[in-house]
Amino acid sequence: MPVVVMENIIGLLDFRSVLTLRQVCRDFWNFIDDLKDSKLPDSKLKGLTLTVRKGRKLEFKIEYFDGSIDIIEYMENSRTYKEKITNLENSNFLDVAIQNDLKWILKFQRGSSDLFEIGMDLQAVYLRPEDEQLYQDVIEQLSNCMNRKIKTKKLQIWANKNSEFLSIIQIVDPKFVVELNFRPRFFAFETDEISKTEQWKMAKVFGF
Amino acid sequence: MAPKKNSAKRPQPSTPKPSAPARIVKVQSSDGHILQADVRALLLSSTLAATIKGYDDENKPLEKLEVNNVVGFTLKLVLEWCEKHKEDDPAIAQAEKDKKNIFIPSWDRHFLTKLPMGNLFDLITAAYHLDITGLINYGCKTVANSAKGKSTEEMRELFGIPEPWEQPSTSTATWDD
Repeated sequence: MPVVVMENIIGLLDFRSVLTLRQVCRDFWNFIDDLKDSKLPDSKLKGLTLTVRKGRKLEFKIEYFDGSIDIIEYMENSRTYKEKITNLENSNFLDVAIQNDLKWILKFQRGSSDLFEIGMDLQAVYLRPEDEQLYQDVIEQLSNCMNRKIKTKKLQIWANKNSEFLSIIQIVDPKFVVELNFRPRFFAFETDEISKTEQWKMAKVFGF
Repeated sequence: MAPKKNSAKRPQPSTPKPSAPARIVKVQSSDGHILQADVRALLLSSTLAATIKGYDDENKPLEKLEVNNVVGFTLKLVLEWCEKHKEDDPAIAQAEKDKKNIFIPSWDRHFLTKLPMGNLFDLITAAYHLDITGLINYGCKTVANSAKGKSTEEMRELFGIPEPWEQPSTSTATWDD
């Protein structure tokens, strides 16, 4: 089938069907991977929350403007989505979450979302050292591996040090930022470096 | 208050107009089948319209059009669709070209969904080669509607892909697979 026709069909699908189609055969896999973002359907992403939980678990909560929600949980060697557990075998689950799945979530994002949040669960005070380490690893991966800026109006971050705030704020597209919420854990929040960023300059509302 | 009909969004059904007698020409497929069609139906194809205009401009008699990249079975379907839509305003199809929400009228829905998927793909490909915007729109939307919500296995069947394949070892696919 001509490329233009296939592009047309993909543009008329919903984003979940495009992800399924990508699994069908090598040709579709390569074709969809090579498509320009503008040819892909809009996932209508409303909010994305990354939460580290006890037991070295990472959860993605993805909300859409149509009211639907996807929750994906990652832990050592596995990913759980809608009760389906995928064995990640020898892959690092953090690589899968950030470098693969998050990349695809953002690939289907056309407009700005309302919220992007990185945090720990409400029982964060009980997180073990290995959970704290995972949180740091998440921050590090996000700041090092994101090949596109996240389009969101509101950014909310929990962090253990000022440098983590600085790392994360820079993965957000300053053109869309309206509100920044910083949640420092056990340290004094300083604005010296952060206030120099474009994201800070563009924001209208600040929360600490 | 009576509900308003949102007629602007939907293509209007073909309405017969008082018109000149049909001008019938022969159309030959790539495998040698010769079919007949009303020139007004053929004008829905930008490619054939250009050829017909070329003949008319030079006052040459148009006896047979050759369509070298469409086989007889598919060409018959193309001509059936064009005959049904020969009175349509081409601007409607153009306006729908890049839209996500394409409304497929009931005749077209029936015509396209009764086809096996392989024939539908051939028809869309022919519509693409002949540049028939309306048929491309409806065909692509029909395929998309058939694929929505399907599992990988169901999609494999839909698209006629024979065997599962081994994904790249570095890949873990995506969460929604």
